[in-house]
Order: sequence, then structure tokens, then C-alpha cells
Amino acid sequence: MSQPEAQLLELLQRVGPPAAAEWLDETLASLDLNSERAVRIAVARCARKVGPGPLEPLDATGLPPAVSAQWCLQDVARAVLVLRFFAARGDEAAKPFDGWARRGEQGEQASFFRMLSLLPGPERFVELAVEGCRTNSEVVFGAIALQNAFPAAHFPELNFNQLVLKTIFMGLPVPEIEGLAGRVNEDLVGMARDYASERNAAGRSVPTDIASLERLWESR
Amino acid sequence: MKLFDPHIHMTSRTTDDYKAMADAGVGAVVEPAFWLGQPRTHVGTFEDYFLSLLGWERFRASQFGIRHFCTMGLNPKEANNADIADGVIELVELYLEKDGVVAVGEIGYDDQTPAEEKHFIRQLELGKEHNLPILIHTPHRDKKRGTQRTLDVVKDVGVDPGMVLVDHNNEETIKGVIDQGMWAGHSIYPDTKMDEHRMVKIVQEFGGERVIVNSAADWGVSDVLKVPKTAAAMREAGISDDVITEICWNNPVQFFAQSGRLDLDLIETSVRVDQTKLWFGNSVLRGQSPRVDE
Repeated sequence: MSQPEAQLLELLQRVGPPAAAEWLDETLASLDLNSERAVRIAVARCARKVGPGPLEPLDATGLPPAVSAQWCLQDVARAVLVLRFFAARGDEAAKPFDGWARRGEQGEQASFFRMLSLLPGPERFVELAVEGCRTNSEVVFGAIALQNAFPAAHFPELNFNQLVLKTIFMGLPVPEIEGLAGRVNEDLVGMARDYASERNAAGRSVPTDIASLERLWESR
Repeated sequence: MKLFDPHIHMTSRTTDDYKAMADAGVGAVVEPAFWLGQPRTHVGTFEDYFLSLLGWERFRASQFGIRHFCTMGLNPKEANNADIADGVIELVELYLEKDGVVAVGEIGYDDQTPAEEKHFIRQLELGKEHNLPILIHTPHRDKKRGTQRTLDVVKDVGVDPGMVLVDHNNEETIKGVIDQGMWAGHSIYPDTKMDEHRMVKIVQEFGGERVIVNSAADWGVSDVLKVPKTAAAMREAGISDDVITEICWNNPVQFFAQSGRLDLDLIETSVRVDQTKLWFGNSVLRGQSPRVDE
């Protein structure tokens, strides 16, 4: 068992209902990792067997850095299942994982996007995450954009800038974009200024996050 | 006054909407092919979508006295999906030739990626090859630059500006579009994009030539009556009926008639509603007594 996997299992035992950890233990014991179908069904079933409860109390010490307060219980269980799938199948796990993420319901998609940084060779999922940002779902978009180190670490500039703009458009908290200070760039600030100008011309209020983006750029 | 809504996604709307639109004077609509709120995972689902635009949706509209036309295209968002984009473009080529298709669209930029640009250019070329007008979506994010880039690309590909309708304009983009000799669309929305009172100011500044308004109503919060409401707001502000008719009827009619598939005489007549009709055995009615016009 890998260290992140052990940490996640321990987390679920500590903060989740006992039945959830028990279910996951039993599932892992009998799971046929050669069957993509079996793993996919177990991942979906986490919604009912583990559920979307919060990780409280969350003590970040001894946890993989990818785990944030945005995570919920089912994200933890799904990450354990997917990590085990990758451990068993190596690189050939990447393609089915990509397909699951594109065809998941929104809770599954949120889990998949939150766990990206935990997976081996995460950079191969850039295109998947960029595509994920085209969603209309605030839950799915938020799972990628907020409290997630993946975009700042791996997105090309164009896609990172679009992510920041979309965060502003959706009224989500820009300060929760991890690594923004290190990725702020002239183009992004220009896009934000143009958007402020457009809002002014329309007689509408300008989101305060635009000014904080400018400050971030000036103080870089 | 007869009104035209040249950009509305009726597959996402109800029969109550059709009835309200007809009661408010909307006599014709154009439904651009677009995305369905979440990404499609197969090329084949596009084909069934295209067929529903040409078939069931046109029938539904007719049952409420509204003429329904559509545009065909690969929308900018899904142009980024390499698994399906080329396959959809092949379908678009086939479906552009169908009766009832009055333009290529909606195409253009969303995130302004290289993949979007490639499929945008390809579809501009398809417009030229099939002698069809082109309906272009402009991006919500990075709009000013995205619109300028759109105009540059259209010019580079060598499309006749009179065959191009650039949509979702605002106070900062309309001038560039009109100056190029293209048609400028405005989507009147409850909260984002454009509202009817800002639209009045734009018309007071730019007049009605090549100016178009639409509701762009879809599965999100939007209002199918925005064209009638904008016409009313213009009238209230003292804009003449001639200009209102130009914007809300003549301009879209003329623009889409360039396809050769919108009959200028026929469009001026009313649709005779006959709700006893069926579409492959299906009726829009659920036990109501059918309306049959004389």
C-alpha cells in the first residue's frame, strides 16, 4: 500500500462514519482490479456507501497535500480506489480513468478532478482537466479551479488564464485558486481589465477580484 | 408587428414558450446548433441532434404558428474535443445542404484555443463552399480581443462581410463589426450579455442598419420574449416603427434569405396552424382539442 493510500484510509476511518470505512475495506478486499467495470461500479457506489459528508475535523498533518477542505468523504474513498487501480495496472490505467472522468456524473467528476495531483504522472491529465473546465457545473468547475494545485502546476498559460476569468465570471472566490500568485501574467491582467471595462460600459458592478488580481500583478 | 427571433434554442424550451412567443408576435425563429450544456461523448449524438433541429423541432414550431429555421455547425466549446471534432465537421458538411438550414453556425471562439481556430476557419470555408451565411458566436471571456480576432480571421479567410452575422455584441464590440460591413447581433438577456434598455441606447447611436436582436434563450435562465420586449422598449423610447421593423424583422429576414432557403414572399404569410397533424405518429397535444386555423 502506498503512503498516500494509507493516509487516505486512515483519514476515512478517523472522520467518516464507521460503516463507510468498513464498506471500503470489504470492497478493497474483494475488488478485481483487472475488471474496469468492477472498479467503475465501486467508484460510483461511493456516493451511497460513503457519501458527500465533510472531512471534519480536518487535520492536514500527515495527509497528502492534494487533500483540501474542499474534499468530502466520497472523494477520499474514490481516491483510494483509483490509486489502487493505478498501482495494479500502471500506465494502462490512464486511458480508462480518462474515460470515467469524461463520463462521470458531477459528484464523480469532482472527485476525479480533486485527486489528479495524487495520481502518477499527473501531467498527462492536463487535457482532461482543461476540458473539464468547459463544464457549466459549478461543482465540477470548482473542483478543478479552487483549492487544487493541479491547474497552476500544469495548465498552459492560455488555459490557466481562462480558468481564472471563468472563476470571476462564475462568482467563485479567486483567492482560492492555488498558486495564482506564481502564475499571474500580463495577459491575464489585460483580460481582467478588459472585462472590467466591459462591465463599466454596461453600467454593471465590477467584481472586486479584478482589483486584487491587479494588486497581485503589481506586487509580484 | 411581426417579429423574428434569429437566435433561440427551442429544443430546450416548452410548448408554453412557443405559445407565448406566437401571442407576442414572433412569427419566425432561427435555431443555431450549439452545445447542450455538457460535452457530448460521441459523434453520433450530434447527428441525432441535427436531425431533431430539422425534424421534430420544426414541426413543434409549426404547431404554434411559428416558422422554424436552423443553422448547422460545430460549436466552439466542443471544437476542443479532439475525439469528436473531425467527425462532427464531416456531418456538418452533409447537413449544410439540407432544406431549412439557413446558415453555418454557431461557430467561433470560446477559450480562443488553436483547436477552436482550426475548426472555425474550416467552417468559414464551408460557408463559402455551400454559399451560406455564417452565424458567429463571440466569446464571453476575453471578449474584446476575441471579437477583434474573429473579425481578423473572417477577413483572412476572405468571406464576404455581408454574409457574416457576428453575435452577442455589446457597447464595446458593435462598432468594429458594423465598420467591417458585417451584421451585428445582440443577445438580450435577463442579467448577462445585453439588456433591452442598453439596446435602446445602442440603436439611438448606431441606427438600425445591419443591427439585429435575439433572445439567445436556451436551457439557462433566459427569456423567450426578449425580442418583443426589446421592440416595446424601443417604441417607448421613441424609436420609429420603421427602425424597429428593420431590426426585429427585415434584417434577419434579409440576412438569412441569402441562403436561398428562406422564401421572401412565403415568410410574410402566416403559418396555418393545424394541430391535428402528426410527426411520425407524434402529436404535440396531450388530449387537448386541436387548434385548426381556417
